[in-house]
Amino acid sequence: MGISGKLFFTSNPPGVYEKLQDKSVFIAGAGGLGSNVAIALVRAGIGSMTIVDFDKVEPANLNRQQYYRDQVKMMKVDALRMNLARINPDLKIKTICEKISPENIDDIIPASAGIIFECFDRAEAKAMFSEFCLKNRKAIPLITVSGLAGLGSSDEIKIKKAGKKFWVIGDGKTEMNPENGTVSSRVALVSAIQAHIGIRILLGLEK
Amino acid sequence: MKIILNGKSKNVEAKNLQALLLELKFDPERALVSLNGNVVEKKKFSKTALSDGDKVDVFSFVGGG
Repeated sequence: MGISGKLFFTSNPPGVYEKLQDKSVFIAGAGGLGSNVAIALVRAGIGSMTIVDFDKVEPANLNRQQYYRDQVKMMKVDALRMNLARINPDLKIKTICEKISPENIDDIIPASAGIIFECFDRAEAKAMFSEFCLKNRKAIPLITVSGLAGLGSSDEIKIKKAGKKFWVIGDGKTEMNPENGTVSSRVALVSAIQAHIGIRILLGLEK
Repeated sequence: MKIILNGKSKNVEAKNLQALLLELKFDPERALVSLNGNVVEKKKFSKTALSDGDKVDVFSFVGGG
């Protein structure tokens, strides 16, 4: 990136952009969590990321996910690639349009990455994914989410360090369903915590 | 037998992990389980026997994202 590109990152704390430029992250899911995490990371100056998702943008996603009305029906990975490129055209982004399953997970998750962000919606997928990563990608920090629906207080969102390189964020109880719904502010809150822990890990600040 | 469940001592009837999850009313499909510090794969829950004094950590995920 030339000098002009760096200008966009000059308000970061000193050294953040330079350090994040060399880092890569893996984001599993491009919904409310994944799209918000990706945007927070690209604004901080992450150098490269891989994003996996198999869904299309739906009208009902737009209350909380980082897409626009003219992107409805696009594949989420394609729409997110466009939106991230508008923030930083120099970001190296790899998108994979597939549903992660026990059969393909080992091929999809890279052997090395700075951080793995679990950003799925279904609890079963979260459990399957985390189990795989904690067994087979032990060296890579894993940041997962459990419980963000409804209108509970921000104070209910907890950060739990559940292992040496394993974090769980959320209220631990509020399931997404039509009764609870999910509001933009709470998803943004949780995904910002997820992204922030990730940035701190990449900068060597998180123990 | 007596196990250490999520850091607390507990008497349980179950003889394996699958039975333990059902006894404790956890959905095995949503659960992340470690036995004596090692994560156990879901497909091995019913084959993984429990012994007295085992340290079991169960984390149950909630959907949404």
